[in-house]
Amino acid sequence: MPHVSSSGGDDLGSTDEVKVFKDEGDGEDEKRSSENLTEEKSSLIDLRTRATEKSGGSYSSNKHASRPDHSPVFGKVEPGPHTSSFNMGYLVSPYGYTNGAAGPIPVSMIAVSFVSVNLIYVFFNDLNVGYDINIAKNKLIVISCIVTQRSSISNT
Amino acid sequence: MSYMQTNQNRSISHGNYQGGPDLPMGSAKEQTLMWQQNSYMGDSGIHSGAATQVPSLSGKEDEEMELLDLDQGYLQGFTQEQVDEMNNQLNQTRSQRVRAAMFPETLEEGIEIPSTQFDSQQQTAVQRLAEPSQMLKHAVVNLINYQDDADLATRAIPELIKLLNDEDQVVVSQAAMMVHQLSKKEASRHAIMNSPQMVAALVRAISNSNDLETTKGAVGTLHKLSHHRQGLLAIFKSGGIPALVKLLSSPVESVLFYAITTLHNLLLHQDGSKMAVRLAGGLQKMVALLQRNNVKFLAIVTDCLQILAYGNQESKLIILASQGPIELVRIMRSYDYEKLLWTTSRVLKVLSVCSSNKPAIVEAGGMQALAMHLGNSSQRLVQNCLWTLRNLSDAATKVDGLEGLLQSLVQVLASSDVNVVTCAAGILSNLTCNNQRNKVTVCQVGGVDALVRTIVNAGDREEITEPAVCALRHLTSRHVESEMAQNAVRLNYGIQIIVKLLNPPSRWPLVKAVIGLIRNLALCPANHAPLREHGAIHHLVQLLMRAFQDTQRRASVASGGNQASGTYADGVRMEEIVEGTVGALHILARESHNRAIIRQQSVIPIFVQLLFNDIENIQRVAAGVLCELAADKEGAEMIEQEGATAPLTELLHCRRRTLRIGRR
Repeated sequence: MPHVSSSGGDDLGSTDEVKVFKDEGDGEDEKRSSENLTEEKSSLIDLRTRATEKSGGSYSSNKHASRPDHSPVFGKVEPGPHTSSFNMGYLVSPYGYTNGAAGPIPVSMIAVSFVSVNLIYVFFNDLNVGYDINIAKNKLIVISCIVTQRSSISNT
Repeated sequence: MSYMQTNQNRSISHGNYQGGPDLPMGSAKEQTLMWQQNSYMGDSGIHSGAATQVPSLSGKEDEEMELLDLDQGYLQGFTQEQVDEMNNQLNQTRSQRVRAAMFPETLEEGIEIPSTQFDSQQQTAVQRLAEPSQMLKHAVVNLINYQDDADLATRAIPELIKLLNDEDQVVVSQAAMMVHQLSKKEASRHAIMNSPQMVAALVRAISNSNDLETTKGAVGTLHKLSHHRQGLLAIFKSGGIPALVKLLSSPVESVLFYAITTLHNLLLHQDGSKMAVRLAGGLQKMVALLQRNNVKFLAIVTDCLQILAYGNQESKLIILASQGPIELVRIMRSYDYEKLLWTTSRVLKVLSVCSSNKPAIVEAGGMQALAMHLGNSSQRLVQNCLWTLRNLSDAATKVDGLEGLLQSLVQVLASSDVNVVTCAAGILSNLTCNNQRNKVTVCQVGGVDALVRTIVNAGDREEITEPAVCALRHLTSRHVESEMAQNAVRLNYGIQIIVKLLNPPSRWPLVKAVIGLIRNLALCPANHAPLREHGAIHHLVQLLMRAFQDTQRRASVASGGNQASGTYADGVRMEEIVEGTVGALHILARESHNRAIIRQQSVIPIFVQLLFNDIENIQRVAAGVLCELAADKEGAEMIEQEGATAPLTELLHCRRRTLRIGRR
């Protein structure tokens, strides 16, 4: 066979070369990808909330507060992408009625909420006048009970 | 007699009820069922009424009478008494129908209200009213509640701020919990985020308190605020980021979860957050958190790392110094939760472009760990693994144990996804570079066939053909299976398509790779004829002339000044093209038919000039091709005419071993 060689037989072939690739991705695409984690985030917090409720770490001894599953406040911390934020956290869920079923009676609920708001006004006015830390503490407990109750009314 | 039953026996041909005489009317129950099927949300499903229209049945003084085209025959068989009774019944239940539509929750269960809907396809006016009236009612209730919440929060906030700043930890903790409760409602949440003092008080509570309930309440509130642009801004401005980063060391899971999700929201949507997290030492803490085992939590942590490291060299070095690559590779090896694998592969992708992280990832077993997922059904995971592997591949040419990866890569060459194929070809090209074991492995798993098919299918897609040709170039020389590979290209009908790639629109990097491959293919005598028949010699000579003229032109322009040491065309120097083409022609000239063709191309003067080139490799291949051509009498004469005998003789006795040329 004809051959021309310098150091080794195979040397006549072409040399191998590496290429350095630097593909870090597109900035905008990457940001959009990160937004896909909404579900993970809400389920982490959801899990946490439920654990708190179960372990009795709730803010009040009100038994309603330990029923988070159907409450727009406790059960669904994150609004889904298609849920209007306006629907969240209110006493009456606007789409809560099923066909023919008797839903909560809004009139009485509004009344409850009015009563509690006025109560709280009174407490706060009181707080403003004579700021005694012991009174404040007791008031706070009462107010937090009311707030919790208000939040959980929609469970009933 | 019931009104509905009566209806069964009559025909209706009036007004809106053009259902016609053949409209089938079942029993009241059937009718109810029927329109329940096309009923809408919110309706009680009972019979909201067309009461407004029905009384006209009687023909009495109702003003809606004129709407109905009464069929005279319709009333036959009814006494005036019966008609009156029917009307009475309907009149009495009218308010119930309206109530059923607007306040279904106030109806007693089990009550039957006669329906006035005749046509199941068409709702009555009252039925149509039901949905909007329900919506309106809810809107009003919501508004009242909203206003309540807003008022309450506005009143409470100044007090709560005071309490949050109290010295008594019990008070602070109660206050923090209450703020958290308030933050769960939209209206009061807005009130909270609109108060910079409140947000500042929360941040202070996080920074100063050791009480768990205080921390939970405060960070829970910040988490709620972080769903709003305004809330993010308020947290950022109040110095919330260092406080949240501090909480990343919390042993309490709930606090940790609130902190990481809030930080993630900030990193995504609040300008300036990335820098603040870096300055607060967030990267180190996040890398430390990679040892946790909650997959969703890990997915968020890794995504934070990706956001922080993307395009930021300093962050990448901090992650490296915190042992990030080891942890990330371990995650890729240990879990199967798709989202986590995906977010982790994206961090590795970002790190793999950093020359310091690259060897660390490879060292940690990153190539093997990423290879594990190439068969995953998640396209985005596979793609990110491939991008990372390609970024790493030039630093992994000496890594052992990549047989599995190489086999997977050959398999995914058959993918219909351009990006997948592009990456796979690029990785194969790098991993076969000067690595005999990898070359043999790829050949053994059918890599040559797959690459030729890939090139054939890719057409003009240079992002695929270039790395695929490079990989074939590596596979066709310097290993024990190279001869098999040279034959396999021909047997897969690759030669024609490869020679064609020397033509436009191929750009220089592809052309250079193809020249190198042809040079290797020519090492196999069985390839000489096919290469010649497909015009390889002609194309190579054309390219040589073009590149040579280019170097000459630049040399004359630069004469006197600096030596023109090569300008790049798409990253390729023309000297490389000269060396490649002459090298290929040198090997092709081993065959006598080929030599005859080369002689006809009037290229010998160029070869002779190249004997004097500055680049030693070019001198060598020029001498080589001239030696081959001198084997024929005609060739020898032509070389002598160019006055090349003296320099060639000199080269033959050259003191440099590398240039010594052995003749047959």
